[in-house]
Amino acid sequence: MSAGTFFKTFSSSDRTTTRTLLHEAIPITGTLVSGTYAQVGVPQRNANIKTYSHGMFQSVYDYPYLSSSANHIFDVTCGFSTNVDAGSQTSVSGTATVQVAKKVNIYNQMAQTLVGYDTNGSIRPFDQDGDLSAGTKIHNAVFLNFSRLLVKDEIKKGSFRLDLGVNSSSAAPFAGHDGMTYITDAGAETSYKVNSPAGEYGLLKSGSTNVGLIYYQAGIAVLTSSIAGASSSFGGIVADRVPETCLTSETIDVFADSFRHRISNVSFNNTTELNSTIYFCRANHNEFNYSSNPTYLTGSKIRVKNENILAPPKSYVTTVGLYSADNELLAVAKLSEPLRKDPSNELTLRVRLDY
Amino acid sequence: MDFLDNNLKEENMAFLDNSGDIILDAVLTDAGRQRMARGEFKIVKFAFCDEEINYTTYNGNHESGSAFADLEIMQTPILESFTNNTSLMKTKLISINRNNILYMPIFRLNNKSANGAEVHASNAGFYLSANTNTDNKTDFNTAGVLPFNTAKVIKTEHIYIDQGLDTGGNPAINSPIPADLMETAFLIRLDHRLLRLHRGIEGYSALSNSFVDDDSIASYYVSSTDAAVEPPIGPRDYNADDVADGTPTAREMFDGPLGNRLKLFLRSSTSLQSSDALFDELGTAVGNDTGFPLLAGQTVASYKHIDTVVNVVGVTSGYSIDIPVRILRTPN
Repeated sequence: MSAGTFFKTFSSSDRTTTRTLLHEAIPITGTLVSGTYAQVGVPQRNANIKTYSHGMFQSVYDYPYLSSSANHIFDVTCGFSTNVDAGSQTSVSGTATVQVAKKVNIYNQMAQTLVGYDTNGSIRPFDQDGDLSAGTKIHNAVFLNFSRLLVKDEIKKGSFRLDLGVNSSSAAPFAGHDGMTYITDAGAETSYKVNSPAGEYGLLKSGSTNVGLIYYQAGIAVLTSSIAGASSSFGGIVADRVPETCLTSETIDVFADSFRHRISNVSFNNTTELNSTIYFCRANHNEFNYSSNPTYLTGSKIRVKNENILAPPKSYVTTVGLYSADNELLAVAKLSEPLRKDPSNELTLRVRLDY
Repeated sequence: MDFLDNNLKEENMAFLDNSGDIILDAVLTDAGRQRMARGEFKIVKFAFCDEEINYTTYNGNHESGSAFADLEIMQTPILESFTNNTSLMKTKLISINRNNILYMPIFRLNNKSANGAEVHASNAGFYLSANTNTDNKTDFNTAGVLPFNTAKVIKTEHIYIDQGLDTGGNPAINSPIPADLMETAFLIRLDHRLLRLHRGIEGYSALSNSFVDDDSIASYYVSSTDAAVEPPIGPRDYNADDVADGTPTAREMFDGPLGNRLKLFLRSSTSLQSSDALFDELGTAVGNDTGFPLLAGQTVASYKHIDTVVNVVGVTSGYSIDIPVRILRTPN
């Protein structure tokens, strides 16, 4: 640093970069998904549930969606494939009567994005254990697409949990000892799949049974429609019918209403990847000891010297400014309290900028 | 949902928590974000600042000893960061490689009629005519009034910002200012929507800005080798005559060693010359000629003005001075 200036240029050793993962807990209560903002006359679809004229999915907000305060939480939709492999879950496409094309389109869109294509260019179906070469395929699926606002960069592996009411009575879906199933990706921190074009994914299990997939970077949970077990009713508020029946004979919106009605809680931790540049602002003993603060002087005389020319100068740092080559202030950092700087001390202030 | 609230970062002006460890609250400025969007974000240097500190509270004669001299300063609460790039870093800390300095250089706006640099009586700065039409109504015999057309310069010919040591004559005005205290360059900031910067010398040549930031503030960097900077030797040797005459401050603002002098002139922007729009948005309309430096024989039924400031910072001393400017415009 040249004497007599207030800028000091960073050397290469004054700058380093780091990467930090930041996690936030995201609890979504079931009442928010299915009951907090009830509308008179539309009991199954509250004011925070947005539907669309195309009817291909519905969106859940944390507040009535017409309000500017509302935040998008997740979307619910469902679909089925038309390509049934031997030994797999039976697709209901052959018996479906309502919104068949749209449900197939939804399934294919999700599958091509999340599972990709085989070597012939055909869309691969979702696979229950992640082994695309064999095993049970998920041909009838429910999709929960979580908002980027919640997921941030990705869902933290091993943190996802969905509490689902599976009581046979759709009027009391959470009642009874066997009324709940808990779906998690437990163990995914150390055991996850990387054979998806959409990034990493884990297996969702209820107990030891595979019931779906969770795509961490995409923020999408894929659940088999037989999640509640064939013996459970899964008709929600529409009627006490098994999911497959509901999937064939109801619209996507009605299916989504039914599914939401069964959600008790959803929780996961999100992940934000912080890439940081750390600047070490070093003040040597002979630097930054004087101030241009107007109160520093009385006339032209330095106040803190107390009329003694031999007294050491003093200054007090409260702010660090980071500048471009042409002297534009690009970032600023404030200290929580003043730091004294005089010729008897040296300072290194570590300023971290996150991107 | 509470967790969403955590994601909403409010801009506020609270104090920082100073009850525990020292923390650094770092933010990008609006200019930094703009440069990032343009792919031009590169930090190459830093500066320290002490803008919250009031050194008048320093008590070098504290009855409990020198350790308590800065007790009040150290208890100063610090504000959170602003994001406006021009609102911060006003009073920088500077590095001078020696400790035996009692006087620091400061800036003063030269107000000496002998230099053709007199300021206006009402704002202690300058009035500036926005266009030719306003020139024709304005009395430039009034001190501190700058014309749009430089051919009309009469009384105030330029803006002088003088650097010097206010020592009360000891050391004297003809003593050299220490070399490490002499300004090596000046940073000038002004509102680019309103003003353009020119050298306050013969010909009034225009200066080029370094950049214009997101708030339309233009920054100019003028080194001491520029023609707009006059050293305390050479053309200013007449100081010696003033000293000999016993009037050392006849043309100078300091009765002490002198530093460089920055010589500037201002012109209105094209927007101000041709339109009232910025006057309507930023300025004041006056329904008569009150406060207008009216030329004899002319009438002005109404006019508009904008008040702004030109900020000059010394790159060596860090000292900063704001020059008030009122821009006048009469109806066409």
